[in-house]
Amino acid sequence: MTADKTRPSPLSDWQREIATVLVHAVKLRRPPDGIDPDEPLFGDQGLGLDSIDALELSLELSKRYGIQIQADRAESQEIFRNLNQLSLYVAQNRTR
Amino acid sequence: MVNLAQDFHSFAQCLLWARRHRMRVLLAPDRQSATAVLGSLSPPAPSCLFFEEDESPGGTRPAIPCPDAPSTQRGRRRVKSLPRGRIALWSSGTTQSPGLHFKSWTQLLESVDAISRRVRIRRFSHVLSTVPPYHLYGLEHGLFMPWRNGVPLYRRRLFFPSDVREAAMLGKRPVLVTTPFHLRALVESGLTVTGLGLIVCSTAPLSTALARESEGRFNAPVMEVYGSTETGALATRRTVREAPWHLLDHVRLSRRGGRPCLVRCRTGTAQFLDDEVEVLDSSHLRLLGRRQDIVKVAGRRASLSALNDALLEIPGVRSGAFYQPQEQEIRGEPRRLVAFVTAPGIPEESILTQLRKRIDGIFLPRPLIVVKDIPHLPTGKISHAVLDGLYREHVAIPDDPASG
Repeated sequence: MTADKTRPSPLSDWQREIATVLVHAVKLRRPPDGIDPDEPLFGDQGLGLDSIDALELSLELSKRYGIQIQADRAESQEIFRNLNQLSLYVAQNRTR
Repeated sequence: MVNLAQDFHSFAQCLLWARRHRMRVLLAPDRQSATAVLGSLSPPAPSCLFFEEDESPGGTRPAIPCPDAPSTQRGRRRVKSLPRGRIALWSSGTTQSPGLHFKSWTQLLESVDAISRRVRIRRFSHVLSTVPPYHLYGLEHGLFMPWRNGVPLYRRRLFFPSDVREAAMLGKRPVLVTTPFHLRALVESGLTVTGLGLIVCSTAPLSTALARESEGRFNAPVMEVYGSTETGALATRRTVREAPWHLLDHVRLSRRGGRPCLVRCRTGTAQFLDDEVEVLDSSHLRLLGRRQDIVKVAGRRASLSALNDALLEIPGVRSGAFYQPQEQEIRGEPRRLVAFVTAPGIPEESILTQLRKRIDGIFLPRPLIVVKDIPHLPTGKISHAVLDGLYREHVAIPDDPASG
């Protein structure tokens, strides 16, 4: 929306689907296409999501794609790094 | 010493070590909030040990990194220094500055022993917690209750529903210490979690519907705990029965100056409650309502007026207010705040960036709605009815993306 921001890279259809799920799950006021696939999802940079969002998002992913995320696994940090990682993980691990 | 351990075992080790050395311990969610608290101490903490797990690849052992000089934060209210041998709990605060609550071991163990008797904790195989130990509720129920009674506890903090399922299978009848937020996620995940013996729930009001659904699904009673960071655990109830709260046996109800208050049996000290209560007898009470100004998100409290002040401080913001929608509570969703703001020419993103610097991130509005004008009362305040109207007008329930 702001003029000074560089334009986000275009999303693939799959990334856009995951971005739409993300926006819906955590009630972001950003169009899915406004998310850059490499933008950090958590922390002060990027989308600034927090642990509540992580749980909401995981719930949505389990309902839609049958994905069960576990905090114990080292990969959970990696999955939520950015839209790119998240889309890849869901594509590779979906059961429905 | 600042205890930032995430693992319950490391966390307990740190507490014991600090107790042996009569060191003050500060519990805080993360390094950033701990540093903010340390910066507000008067006199300032000369040096401080940060205890946290080694997160480098392959490193799981707790590490004690070098002393860290706290950064001073201007504009923070000064708080007294940490008393020796005590545990200081950080809370995001009912004022703009983070609040500290001091607990002696004796005080902590009083409520822990009372809750252990109520729960009859030794009947259970082990304790699992989705609540971090820096939160008093998590500390009392997830760590001290099993620790004090020789009941095994699952050392990792559980977060996602499948974490809970896996940890629950490790014993015959575990107790799950959780929050309405995690409980709802567990129910909605559709996962089969077998063998739970008891579900203990606190930090936010639990709806009877969610309690009923959880009991049916997991075949275990759901016990809700009433308490606060100031008081510790005070009372319990079986939520599905909508019964009055049954006070724990280390406290009794009394009246001082016509107002209901709590008296600690051991010391006789009285304390007023933040909530409006109806006293039924010396050990039963009914909660009538929470204080209007206080909002809670994910177990953290903030004052609405302090949040509003933070919003209005932002250069270019002409008017604005935070709002906690009631419908979220009914739907059992995490209670995120919404904010409405009038700030001509200021982009939404820069207001959010400014807010992020001023308030705890958990209270950031989701969403922040920029409006042309917000009608004010003659007193200059914004009425709740106006905010209700703005909410209905601007924040539609998001559509399911699958249907679009």
